[in-house]
Amino acid sequence: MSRFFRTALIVLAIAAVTHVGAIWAVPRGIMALVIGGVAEAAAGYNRAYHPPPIDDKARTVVLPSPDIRYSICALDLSAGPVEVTATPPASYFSLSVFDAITDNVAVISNATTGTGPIHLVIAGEDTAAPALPDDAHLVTLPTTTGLLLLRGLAATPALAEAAETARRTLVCRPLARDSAG
Amino acid sequence: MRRLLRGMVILLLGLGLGLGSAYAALRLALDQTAIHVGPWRTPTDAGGTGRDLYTRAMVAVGALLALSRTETIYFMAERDDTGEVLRGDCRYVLTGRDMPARWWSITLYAGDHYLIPNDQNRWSVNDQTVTRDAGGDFNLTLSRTPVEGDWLPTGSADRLFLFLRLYNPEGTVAADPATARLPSIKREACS
Repeated sequence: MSRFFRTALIVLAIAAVTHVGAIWAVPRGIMALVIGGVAEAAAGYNRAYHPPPIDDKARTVVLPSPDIRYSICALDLSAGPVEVTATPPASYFSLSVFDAITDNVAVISNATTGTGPIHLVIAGEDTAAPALPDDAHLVTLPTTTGLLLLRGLAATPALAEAAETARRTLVCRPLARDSAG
Repeated sequence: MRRLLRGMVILLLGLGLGLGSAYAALRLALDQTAIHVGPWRTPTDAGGTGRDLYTRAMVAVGALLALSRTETIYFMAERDDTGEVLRGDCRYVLTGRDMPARWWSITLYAGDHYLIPNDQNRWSVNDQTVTRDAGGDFNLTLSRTPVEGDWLPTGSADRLFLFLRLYNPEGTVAADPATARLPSIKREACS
């Protein structure tokens, strides 16, 4: 094999590893930054953070919708499952769970739950199935960290007011060990 | 010293080729895998757990925290009906009618995928706010200067990016986004 082809093969091998590594790392890196930023804004993991209503100054995450009020929790399941509760308005309202590689592993909206409170327990894959409180939905997160994102429809001033009230009901906290009922 | 230099050149070449091809692959990923409806396109599943490596990376860069297709279908447009890139110094008219979903919205962003600053704080129209004519059609104008009716300002943006959200999609669109009847995007004039 000539020296030229040997060199070309080495370059291609480095390029292939770099290519796959970059594609693999992009979602993980971006998500790590966002999860860390939310935890910092909320003064900790597993706590609700209510960012200001969306306008042109919202530049944390691309493509923010001005028709939606968002609240968010940075999830850390290293100490055990996390419990999430929120009470929706009549208009569109959802809680979605994302893992550390950006996959939307679960979404529950009031299209299926109605206007009653939504109750989630988020647990890691390696955690023994926790005892669920009444009416709670179990969400299994394949990574130790992730995000819980609340969306409330704010398409008009009246809907925005209802979404604002509803998102303030969001609670994220470690699951109490004796919470099953 | 010469061997070290040669090794460095090989390493840099490999890294550059790898990173450059990764960037190009992300740019191509949406075109290759998306469902196209006129000037609009949507990933087959923006936020789902079954996405391939490239779709996941592409969505992380361009539409982080997108929901799975059963909850929301996202259509995006960077070009008009004739395939020309959407420009901030042009005036466009979108014409369409209600789309089958629990609610829908059309939001205008700059090319960087963030909202465009404007004095009117207008960034979107939705099924609650859009004005329909007697036949149920709506007309939405994008331009730098105000117009009567539904209007979104393009401000000082160079490129434009339209994002159409169908939350809780209904009917055949939920199963097959290619069947969606989406607004046309017609360029009227440029300054």
